[in-house]
Amino acid sequence: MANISSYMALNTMNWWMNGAASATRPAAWGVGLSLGSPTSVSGSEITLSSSNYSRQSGLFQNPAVVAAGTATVTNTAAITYSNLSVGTFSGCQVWDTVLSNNSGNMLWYGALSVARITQAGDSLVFASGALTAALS
Amino acid sequence: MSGSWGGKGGLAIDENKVYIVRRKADGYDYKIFHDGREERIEPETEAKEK
Repeated sequence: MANISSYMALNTMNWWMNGAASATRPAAWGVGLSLGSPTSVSGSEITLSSSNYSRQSGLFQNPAVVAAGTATVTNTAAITYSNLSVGTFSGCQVWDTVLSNNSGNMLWYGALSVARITQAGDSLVFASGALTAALS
Repeated sequence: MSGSWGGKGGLAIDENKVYIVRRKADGYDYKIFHDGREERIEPETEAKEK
C-alpha cells in the first residue's frame, strides 16, 4: 500500500488479526519534512535545526467513510514551519509523536510533486486540508 | 494472484494547499505555490493564517 509505513501496516494487522501486541494509539501527531523521498521504512526527516526546521504538530479530524470501503482523515489546521533558512523540502511524514525530529514512529509519508525551496525567513505552510490519509 | 485484495490508499498531498510564505521588498507577505503562482496576503487575513 502506497505511502503507509511498514510500522503502521504491521501494527494495524496486529490489532485486527490478533498478532503480537499492537502499539498504543498516539495522543498527538507530528508532521515532519524530508530532504529526500521518504520510504515505508525511512522518513528521511530533516536533521534537527537544519534549515532552522523543527517538526510541527498536526491536528486531524475523526476518520470518516467517504466512499464504499474507503475511510479518510484530513488535517484540520494549518501546519506552519516558520522562519526557515535556505533549504529544499521534498516530502513529508506523519509521526506518532511531536517530540523532536527523527523520534517516534512514522505512520504515513508522501512526496511533494515539486520540491519547495525556501529562502531565509520563509515559512512553509500545509494549509488545512492539505494532507489526507486514506485506507481503502 | 487470484483473490488479491487490491487495497490502496495512503497519504495524499494537495499541492495547491502547500505554499511558501515570503516577505517581499514591498513589505507584504506572499503565498508562493508549486506552479509559481503568487498571492499577496492582505494584512487583515495574515494574522489568521500564520
